[in-house]
Amino acid sequence: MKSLRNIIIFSFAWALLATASPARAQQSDGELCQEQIKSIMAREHRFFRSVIFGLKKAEDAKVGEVRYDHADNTWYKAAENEWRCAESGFEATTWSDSMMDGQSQVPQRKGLLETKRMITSELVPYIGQSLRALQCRTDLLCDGVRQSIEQKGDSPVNITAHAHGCIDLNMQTLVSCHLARGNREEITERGDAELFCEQIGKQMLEQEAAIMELTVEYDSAYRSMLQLAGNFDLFLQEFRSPIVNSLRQMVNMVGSFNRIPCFLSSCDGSPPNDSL
Amino acid sequence: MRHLLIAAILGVAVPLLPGKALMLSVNPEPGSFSEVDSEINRIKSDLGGAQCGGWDWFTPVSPHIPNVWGVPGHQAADPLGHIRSGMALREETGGVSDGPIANKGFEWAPTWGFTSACRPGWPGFYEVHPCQRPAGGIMGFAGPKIFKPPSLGGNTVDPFDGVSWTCDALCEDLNRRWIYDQYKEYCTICDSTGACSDVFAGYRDTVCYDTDTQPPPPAPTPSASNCYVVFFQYMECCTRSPVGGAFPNCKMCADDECRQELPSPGSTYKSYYRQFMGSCTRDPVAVVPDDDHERLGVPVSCYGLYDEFDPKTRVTGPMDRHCVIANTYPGRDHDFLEMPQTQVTDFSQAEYGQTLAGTDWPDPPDASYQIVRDPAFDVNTDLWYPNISGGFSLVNGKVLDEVLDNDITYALMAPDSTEFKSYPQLNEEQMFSSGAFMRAFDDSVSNDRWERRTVAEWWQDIEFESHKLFSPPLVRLLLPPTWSVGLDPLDPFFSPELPGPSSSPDPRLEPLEVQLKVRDDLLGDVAGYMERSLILRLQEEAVPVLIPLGSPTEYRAKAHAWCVWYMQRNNMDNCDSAGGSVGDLILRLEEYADQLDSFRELRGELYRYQAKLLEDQNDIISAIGNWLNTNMNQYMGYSNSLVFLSALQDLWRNAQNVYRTYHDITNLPWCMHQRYTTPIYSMLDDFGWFPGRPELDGCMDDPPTIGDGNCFPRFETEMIPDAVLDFSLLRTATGAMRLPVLKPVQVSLARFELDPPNPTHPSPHIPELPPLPPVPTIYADVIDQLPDVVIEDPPPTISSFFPATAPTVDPAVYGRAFDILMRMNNAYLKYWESLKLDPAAVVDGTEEDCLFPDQQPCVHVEMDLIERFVRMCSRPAVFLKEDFYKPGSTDDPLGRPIDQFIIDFDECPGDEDPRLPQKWNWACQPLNQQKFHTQRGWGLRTPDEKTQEEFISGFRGQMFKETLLREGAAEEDKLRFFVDPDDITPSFETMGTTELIPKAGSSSSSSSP
Repeated sequence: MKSLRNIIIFSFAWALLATASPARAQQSDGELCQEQIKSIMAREHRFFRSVIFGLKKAEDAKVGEVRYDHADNTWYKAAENEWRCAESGFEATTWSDSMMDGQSQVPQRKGLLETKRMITSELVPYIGQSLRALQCRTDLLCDGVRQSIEQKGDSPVNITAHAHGCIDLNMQTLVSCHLARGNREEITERGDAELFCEQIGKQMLEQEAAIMELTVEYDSAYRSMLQLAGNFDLFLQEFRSPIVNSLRQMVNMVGSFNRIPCFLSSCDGSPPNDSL
Repeated sequence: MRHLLIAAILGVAVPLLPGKALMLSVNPEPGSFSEVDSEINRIKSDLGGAQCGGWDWFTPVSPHIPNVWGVPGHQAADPLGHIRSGMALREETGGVSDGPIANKGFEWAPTWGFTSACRPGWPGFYEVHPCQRPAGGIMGFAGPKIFKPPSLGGNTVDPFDGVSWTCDALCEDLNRRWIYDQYKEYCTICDSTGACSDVFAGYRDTVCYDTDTQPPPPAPTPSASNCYVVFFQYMECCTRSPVGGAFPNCKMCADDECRQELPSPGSTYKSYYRQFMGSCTRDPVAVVPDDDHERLGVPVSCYGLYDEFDPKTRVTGPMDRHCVIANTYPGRDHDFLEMPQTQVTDFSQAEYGQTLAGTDWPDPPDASYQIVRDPAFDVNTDLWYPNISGGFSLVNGKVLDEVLDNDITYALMAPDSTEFKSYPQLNEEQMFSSGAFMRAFDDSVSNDRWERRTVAEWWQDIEFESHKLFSPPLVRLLLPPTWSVGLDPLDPFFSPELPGPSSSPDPRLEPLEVQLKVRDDLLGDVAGYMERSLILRLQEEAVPVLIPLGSPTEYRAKAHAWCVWYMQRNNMDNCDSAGGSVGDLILRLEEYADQLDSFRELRGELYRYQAKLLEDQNDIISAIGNWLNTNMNQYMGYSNSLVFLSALQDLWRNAQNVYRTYHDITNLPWCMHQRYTTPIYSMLDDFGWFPGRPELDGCMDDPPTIGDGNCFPRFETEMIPDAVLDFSLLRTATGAMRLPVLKPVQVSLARFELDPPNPTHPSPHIPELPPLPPVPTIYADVIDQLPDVVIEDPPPTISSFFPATAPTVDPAVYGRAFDILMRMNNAYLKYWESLKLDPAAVVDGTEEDCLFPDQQPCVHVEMDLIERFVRMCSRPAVFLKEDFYKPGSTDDPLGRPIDQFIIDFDECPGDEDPRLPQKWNWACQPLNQQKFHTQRGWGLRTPDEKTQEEFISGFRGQMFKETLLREGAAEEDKLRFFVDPDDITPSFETMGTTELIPKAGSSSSSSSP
C-alpha cells in the first residue's frame, strides 16, 4: 500500500502543476477550481479503469487509441509507433511507443478482468475493493478541496485529507481552489466548489458502480460461454468424425438400397398388379 | 356374425403362417356374404402359398422325377445329366428303330386306334381332323357311335356337346361308303372258225363313290365294241381290295401298327386315331405328407394322321396339337383339382430355408450370427457395448453408472465409431442370402447346346439392360455439417421442410438426395445457401473526423454585423467597398457560411464505396447464379429425357407383369417344382412365341437386335454413374470485411471573438479567420484499397457427370418382349388349363372329345406326351439336394453360392466360367457407380486481420492528422474551436473490438477472456 500511496501523492503533485499552468482566459476562480477538480477526478477515473480493465502497452495499442501524459495532455496513436498530440505546442511532436509508456499518466498493467483461469465471482471481491478505493480517493480529494477553499495564500499548502473509513492522505491544496485568497468572501463560489466536488464524485461512483455491475454480468456470461464453447468445441471434434463418418457411410448404403427394388429378377413393376 | 367368422378364421390362419414369409391381408369388414366367401378363399389360397416351398437338403432329386410310360415321346436320359441347365438330359438315342426319327430316343407306347389307307379329303367326308371322339362301344368307351351326316350309317345326333362323328363311325363309313364297283370285262372273240367265245379281258372299275350320297356309278364302258362288262364285286377304294376282305379301307390298329404305314394292295395304312393309357409316378416327397405323386392309366386320345417327328427340330403347328389327356373321367382321380391342397409342405419336417437340418447351424436368431465387432469387450471397463449388431452400439450402463457416475458427457466425448458396408456375396460360413446354382426352369434347353438356357439368358439380359436403362443416375450432394462451417443452424437449408408430392419437371422441385434429406428445391437451396454464406459480411470501423460545427445563418449574421459596423464606422451605406482586414473578415465569414453546408457531403462518402462493394457482391452472386442456372438448364434437359424413359418403363412393367404372371401363376398351377424335367419343345411353338424356331438359340450369341423376328429382342445401354457433388469442404466467409465509416466529431468553432466592437473604438480588434479546411474525403482511397474480388473457376456442373439426355431405347423392344411373353404365357396357360379341368364340369362321355385340334382340351402334341406327363406330375416345390448341387464339388455335395473369387462382378452379364461357352446365369442388378469430382465449391476469403487493421488504421491516422492536428498547416490557418484541440482528442478514440469467438487453434478449454 505504501507504493500505491506514493503514486497517488506523486500524481496529485503533478495535478497541481498541471492545473496551475494553462488557464483559460476570462474564467472565474470558481470555474478554474471546478476545472481542476474535474481534471483530478478524470485522472482518478482513468486510474480506476486501468485497475479493472488493464492498460496495454503503447506498442500493443491499436491505431486510434488515446493516452494521457502526466500533464493531462491527450495523445493519439496515429500510426504504428507514432503518438501525436493536438495540444498547442505539441502538434509537431511525435512520441514513440516507449516514450508514451514512459510518459503515460497511468502505468501499463493487467486488469482484474484479465485474470485468467478464474471465474467471475472470484474477481468480485477485488472489484469491490477497487470500487471502495475509488470512493475513498474521491472523498479524500473532496476533503482536500474543502481544505483548499479555506486557504488564503497563493501557494499550495501541505494538508492531511480525511475521510471516514479511509486512510488519511497527505496532499497539497489545490491552488485554483484557494478561493479565500485576498480575503475574498465569495461564499457562493466556495459553496459551489465544495458541492461540485461532492456531486461529480458521487456521480462518478454511481456510474462506475453501475458499470462494474454490468461488467461483472457480462464477464460472467462471457466466461461461461467460453467454458461451454471450449467444452463444446472439444465435444464436436471428438464427436464429429465417428458420427459424421458413420452417417455418411449409412447415407451411401441407404442410397444404394433404394436402388434395389427387390431381390428377384422381375420385380421392377412392384407392387404387383393383381388385375393381370 | 360376419366379423366373428373372419376372426375365427384368422385365429387359425395366423399360427400356421411361417414367420413373415408371406403377408396376408384380409378385408376385416366385408360388405356381403360373397365378399366373405371371397376373403375365405383368399385365406385358403394364401395358406396354400404359404406352405409351398421349403428345403430338404439331403433327399436326392432323382426318385422324385416322374417315371412315365404308356405314351410316346422322349424320356430323360438322366434328369441330372444336365444339372447346370436346370433341365433333364433328354434321351436322344435308341427308341424306335424305324421311321423318320429312328434311333433318336423316341419311344412308342402301347396303343390302339384306327388306321386307314385313305387320306383326308379322299373320300370327302374324311376330314383333315378325322373324328372328334374315340369310339362308341369299343375299348371300354361307352358312348354311342355317331356318324357324320349325311352318313346313313346310323345315329347322327350328338347327344352331348357338338361331336358330329366318332372315330369308329368314321372307320365304318370308310369301309362301308367309300367303295367302287369292280366289273369283269369280257370280250367276244371269234376265231378263224367263227367260233366265238367270251374271253376275260380284265377288271374294269368304276370311280370311287360314296354309297350314302352318290348313286352307284354306271358300269364301265367296255374297251371295245365286242366287249362287255359284268359286275364282279365291291372294292374298297383306298386299299383296292374287295370289301369284306383282309384290307378294308379302315381298320383298328394296335401298338406299333398305329405308327407304321402298313401295306395294302392300295395305299398304305396310316393311323388317324390313337389312344394311349399314360401313367406317371414318382416317389412322394416325404415332407409333403399328402404328396399326390402318381397318375396311372390316364387315357390319352390323339386324333389325325399319325406323323412322327421330333418337336425339337420341327416346328409344330395347330394341327399337331391334337391330343387329349383325358384326366376327367369320374371316379378315376386323375384330375388335379386337389393339388393346391395336397402339395403343401409340412414345415414341421421341412426347412424354411433359413436353417440347415442335420448340421450344426442353429436357428436364427442365434448368437452365432451376431456380428461381434469387439470380442474383447469387457463389461467392467468398456463404455460402449459394440456387439449388438454391426450398425450401432449401446452405452454400457454398468460402466456409465459405476465408473462415470452417470455423466453422459463422457459418453458423448468418447463416442463409439461404426462402419456401415454392404456385404459381398457370401459363402456358407456367412448365413446370409445369396445366389446359388439354382437354375431357372427353361424349355429351350437342349442337349446340343449344353447348358445354355435361351429364355433365361434373354430374360436376364433384358432385365439387366433395363435395370441399367431405368436406373438413371442420382445427384447426391454432400454438404458439411452445420457446426463445421459455423453457420446458422436455423438457416432454412438445414431445417428443411418435408418433401411433398411434385409433378413439376422443374429440377428445383425434383427430390434429390442431400445427406439424409430428400426434398424439394434442392438446387435452389444450395444456391441460396451459398449466396447467404458468401455474402460479404461487413464490419463497421469508425474513422473519427473533426468537423467544424457552426450555423451558416449565424455566420451570415456575423458577416452582416461586421458590414454594419463598417458602414457605421465609415458612414457608408453599404460595405461593398470594405476592404482590408474588415473586408477579408466579411468575406471569410460568408465563406464559412457557404462552406459549412458543404460538410454535409460527408454523408455521401459511405455510399460511394459501398456501391463498389455491391458491385463486387453482384459479381459473386452472379457467379453462383450462373452456376445454378447452368445446372438447372442441364438438369432440365436431362430431366425431360427421363419423362420419355418413364413412358418406356411402363411398357417394361407390363412385360414384367406378364412374366411374373407366367412365373408365379400360369406355370405354377399348384405348388410344384419343374426343375430337371425334360423340355417340352412343342411348347415353344404354341402361338409361335419363340423366335427363330426350330432353332433354339434365339440369336443370343449375336449382336443385339430388336426388329429381327427370328431373334429375341435385345439392346445394350450404358449405365451412368451417380453424380456426387461434394461440398463437404465448403467453407463460408470467415471473419468480416472491415469497412471504414467516417464518424464526424462536430465541434463548434470559437465564435466569441467574432462580434464587432464599438464602431467608434479607436483601435478595434479585427479577427483574422483561417479558411475552412476542405471537406475531408476518403472514398477514393477506400475504393483504391478495397480488396479485389477474384472469382475462381466455379465447381463442376452436372453436365460433367450426366449426359445431356438419358440413354433410351426403341420402345419396340418392349413391345416385342411383351408380345413374346404374352404368347408364351398363353401357351403354358393352354397346357395347364387342359389339365385343370374339373371332372364334374365335364359331361360324362365327352372326356376324350376333340372337337377341333388346338382347342381345349385337345391341345397336346403327340410327339412329346412323355415330356408332358413328366411335367404334369412334377414334384412339390421343396428344394431337394441337387437343387443346389454344384458339380465337381466332392467335399461339399450341397450347392453353394457361386464362388465370389472366380466371378468378377465387373463382368455382368459375363461368362460364368470363362472356360465354357456359357452365358452368365445371373440376373444382375448392378448399382450405379458414383462419380466424384475433386471437392470443389466456393469460399470467401477476406483479407487477413493484419491487412485489414492496417487498412483501417491508415484512415484513422490520416483523418486525425488532417482534421484535428492539421499537420503541415500554418498556425494562423488552423481553426479555433470552442474547446482546446487537446480536449477533442479523446473523441477520436476508437475502442478495440472484443473477440467473442475463440481463435481457431487456441485451447478451447481455457477460460481466459
